[in-house]
Amino acid sequence: MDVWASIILSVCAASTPLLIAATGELVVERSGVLNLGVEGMMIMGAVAAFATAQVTGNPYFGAVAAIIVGAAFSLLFAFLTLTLVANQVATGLALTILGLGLSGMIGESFVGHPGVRMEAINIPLLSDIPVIGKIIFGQDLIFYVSIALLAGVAWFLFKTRAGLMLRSVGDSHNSAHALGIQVIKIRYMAILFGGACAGLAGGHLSLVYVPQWVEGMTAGRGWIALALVVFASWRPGRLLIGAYLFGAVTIGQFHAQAVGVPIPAQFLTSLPYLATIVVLVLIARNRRLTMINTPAALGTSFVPDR
Amino acid sequence: MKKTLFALAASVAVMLSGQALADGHAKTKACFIYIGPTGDFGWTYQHDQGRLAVEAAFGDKVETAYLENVPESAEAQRPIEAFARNGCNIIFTTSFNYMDPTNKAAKKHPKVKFEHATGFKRESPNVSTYSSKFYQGRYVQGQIAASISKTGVAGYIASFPIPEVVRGINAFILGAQSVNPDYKLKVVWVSTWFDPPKEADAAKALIDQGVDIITQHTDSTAAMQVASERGIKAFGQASDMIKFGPNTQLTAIIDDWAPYYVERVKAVIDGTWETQDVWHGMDHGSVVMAPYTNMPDDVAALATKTAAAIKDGSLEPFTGPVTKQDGTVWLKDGEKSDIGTLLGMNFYVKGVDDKLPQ
Amino acid sequence: MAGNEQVNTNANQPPLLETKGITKIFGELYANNSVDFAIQEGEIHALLGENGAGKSTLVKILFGSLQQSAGEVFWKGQEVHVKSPSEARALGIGMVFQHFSLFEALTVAENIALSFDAGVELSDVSEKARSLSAQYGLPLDPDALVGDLSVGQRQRIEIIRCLMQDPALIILDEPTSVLTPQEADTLFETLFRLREEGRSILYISHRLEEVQRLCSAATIMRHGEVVDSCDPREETAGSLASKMVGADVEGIEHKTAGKTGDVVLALNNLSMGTSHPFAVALKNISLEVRQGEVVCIAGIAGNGQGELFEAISGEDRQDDPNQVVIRGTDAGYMSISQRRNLGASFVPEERLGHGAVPEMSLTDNMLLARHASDASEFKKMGRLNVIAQSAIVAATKRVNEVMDVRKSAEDPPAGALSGGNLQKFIVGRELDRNPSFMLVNQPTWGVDAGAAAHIRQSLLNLAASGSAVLVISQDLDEIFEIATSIAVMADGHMFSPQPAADMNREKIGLLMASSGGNEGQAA
Repeated sequence: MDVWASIILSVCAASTPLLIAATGELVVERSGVLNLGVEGMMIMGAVAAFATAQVTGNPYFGAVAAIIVGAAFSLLFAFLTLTLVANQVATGLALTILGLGLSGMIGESFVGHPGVRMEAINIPLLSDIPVIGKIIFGQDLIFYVSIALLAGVAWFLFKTRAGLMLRSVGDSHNSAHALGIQVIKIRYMAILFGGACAGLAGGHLSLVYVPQWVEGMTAGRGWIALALVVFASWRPGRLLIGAYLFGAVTIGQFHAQAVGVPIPAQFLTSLPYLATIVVLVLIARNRRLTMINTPAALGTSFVPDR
Repeated sequence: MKKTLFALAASVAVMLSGQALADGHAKTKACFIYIGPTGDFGWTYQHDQGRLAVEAAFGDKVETAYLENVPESAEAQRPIEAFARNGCNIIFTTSFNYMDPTNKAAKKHPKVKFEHATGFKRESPNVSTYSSKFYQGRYVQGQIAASISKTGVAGYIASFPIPEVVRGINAFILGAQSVNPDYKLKVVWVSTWFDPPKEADAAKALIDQGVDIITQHTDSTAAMQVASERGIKAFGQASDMIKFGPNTQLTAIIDDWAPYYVERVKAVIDGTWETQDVWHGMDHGSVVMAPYTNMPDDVAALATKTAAAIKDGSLEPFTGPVTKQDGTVWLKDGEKSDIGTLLGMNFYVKGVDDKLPQ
Repeated sequence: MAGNEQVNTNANQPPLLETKGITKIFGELYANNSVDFAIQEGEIHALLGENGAGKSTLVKILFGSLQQSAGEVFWKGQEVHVKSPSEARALGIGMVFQHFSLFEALTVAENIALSFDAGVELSDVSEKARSLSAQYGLPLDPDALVGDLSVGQRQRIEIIRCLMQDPALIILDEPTSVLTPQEADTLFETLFRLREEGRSILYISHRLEEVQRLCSAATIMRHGEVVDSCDPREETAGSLASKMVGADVEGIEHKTAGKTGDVVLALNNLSMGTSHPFAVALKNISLEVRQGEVVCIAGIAGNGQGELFEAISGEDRQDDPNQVVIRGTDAGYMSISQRRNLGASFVPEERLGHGAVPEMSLTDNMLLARHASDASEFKKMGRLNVIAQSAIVAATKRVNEVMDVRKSAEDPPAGALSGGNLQKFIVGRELDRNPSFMLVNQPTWGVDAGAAAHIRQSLLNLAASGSAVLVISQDLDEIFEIATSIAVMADGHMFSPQPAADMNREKIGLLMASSGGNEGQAA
């Protein structure tokens, strides 16, 4: 039965960075901003985490660095799109390209060194419980953070006044502005939060998943996180399902291969995007679902009256 | 995009140094085109070690230059030609899909010598091709795996189903079966040469499926790290990965291009360079085994003996009797494979627990 | 309906709200120039003016959405600086917006809660909204999703949201523009009730009849300045209008077409499914429009008028070619250009983005609209289809002269024109083709009185010259002014046209609200 525990742990590891990055992007998109720079912020987080952990010897400093660098990098996006009212799609793409290049440059001297691993937290006794012990009480800190983060975001969005304000800004920034809600400020904060999450997700890659640094090691996971937000139709609960479903498919395909069920790897690579398209078609057919879940102002720039 | 920029920036740099050359230095210039970064700690890293060996061997008499991250597409044409125009006397293009751009450039620049790794096209007399018999090392690894494995199954992380990779898989299982005829091999295809998280996932899945030895034909050190974390053994790929698994790595196949590069640059200096097609192995020192570590002495002794036999030619891994996966006889007792079958290998031998993707 | 007695008689009491010298400059434009006005307690005060007269700018300053460039605001005699809407609300100023500032994806209660400052429980908001809506006869379900509500119900949310703050002054910006006459009556009763409670109301409108019925004082603005103030009950509609426009409004001249001729447009049991989630299905619509007729279709926005326009113009094609017949030709399968080539012209509702491309010049917009229907004039060199720039420039110039389009440059981008001038250009662009059939959706929506009169007159002239005209409008004054017969649309159905002489507001109002029951007659 240890095999199953081990498989589930693998799934958790594969899902955690997707979940964290997607949770951040969900908040950003709920505020009406589309930041396509997740991949770029993630890889900046990965290189920052690796370098910091390497220099200080402490993976937790690495995680903190990833959060700070991710947020700082997203600040660039926020400044361009909110203050200078640049096009969000173009700016997001630019952020991704910039992040991939810049991280390669920063990380050049760290290539080929084994990194500092963030070890699992093993709670004595509890983590020795068969099967579930390791899963519930014996994972790395970032895993617990990812779950707490998602729960916190769900609570924030739907149970707090600030969350209501954020959703209102995403629904109609003009109406929100007319009510005196500070649209730009809320969006700045949402983008910073999204950047911090993407950074941490990148940190998970280079601290937990594979403790090493190589150029381009996010390998498209930022894009999958973006697709997951749509797949989840902007609802946190469905995000959890989507991220873990994807993690399970990723791990499952290798197990399928190992036991002799051949599944083309290309099909699985495209699966999150296919699923996203299916979900988009499904929700587009239902007016109420579209209205309730899709941030109506998504991707549009806000210019207040003078 | 980024890679193109890299290539452009680098070709500017090359042009500048080319002008310096025109000042009348009588140096021989050896140039290298790389698919990845020199710090990939794998394929490109090893080629760059070869370049450094050339510099060390000839000192002031040579000058070297390289371009990294050059994409395997028509885009490779421009940097190769930039090298040719700017005073390079010999150009090494070090990935399979540089084949056509290399041959095109060679026709335009007949005075420049071209060396293309792992390819087979030599369309003009100034092109040579070269490769290494990495499968010889795989055979040794198979023997080691079967000798120390407790579960009787090894896991193989494979990139793409091309003959080079299939050959490695077959050599590994043949080596293993020479020790334990019932030894099994599980193969997982990841459809990439380089995606550390994915390689790690594949390694985890294989371990969960009961393998206790991991070997790989992908380029990152991720699988080594996973094996190390899970407390099983693994083989390094392309370079010595002992840093990533001090208690894990059994040995590694090291691509050592240095002897070949030194030999060919010397031929240019001496004016004796001629087109050729070489497929060197352990005999020429281009396939080297990293130190045998983390295994009992008798297994290390067996591995050393096998490697020596391959090196002196008394042992050829693909020697009959060999049965294909489908049960038909491939090589009769004592029969050796012809080179053509090896170069185009598209079938498994018996004992591989996988269906070859077509 | 209670009488309109002035409540406030105490001369010593300062006005509830007073402004002195309010000036607001956008670039070089004086949106407000030294505006002085005052509202007494318990007064319904009208702010009258044409579009662009500066009314909206003034109320935005009062509500804190904009900051004045100069001038002071006094609240109960004290000078105040209102920096944000929440500060305005704290003072006791509430506002019901013309374009509702509502969030469709949120519930009624959530929408209301957003206008409160922090620390208010959502459940309390729901409870209070429920009781207020009962108290003022404005039924509302706090848990309903705003996106599911009708326009009238949405306005109720705005009003309840405003009343939750217990304001002393309520600003209403064009509140009846989206309501049926019956709904408007309900609103007026609520407003009288509020006045009786001692609250003041600043009522912004350009509907003179309403203003005369409701208000005991009026401030009239033109070009950013206050030009007059008066008691509207003592004025006639004509005198108020001339104060607004600054000159006597030119009357519409009915050239009697006399006889009506052949059927030019026929709809035969036209039914259309919904092409997107927000569309209204058209149900079995039959209609004939003859030469010399001006048929007007009344109805509240969102009852299928937009879909009808798209069906006739060919933006949405039909399943049966016989459903739309233009000049005797079955046009159901035809594209927009093919229908235009049959002699039809179409003027959509949205000027910017639908009727014209805002970023493109007038000549480019001319070419875009007519490149297919006027191929012989606008293109040359046969199949090469080279643009005949001089012909396009000439046509544009002709339209601008005929329609009196006022513009700042020789060939400005469409978006640089004011609404009225752009609408004149777009209508003129189609009239210039001498169409035998013309369909216009909301011909004078958001257009100043002068331009509106010009456009209406040109439509009448077109009919008089023997063409058929079909107008979709929500403005009953306009409909009564130009229609020879009037049809009403409700929930995708059409009540067939009756001669204009046989129709009145009440009949139309009942028809508007009659079908589907999506807008119950809350009274």
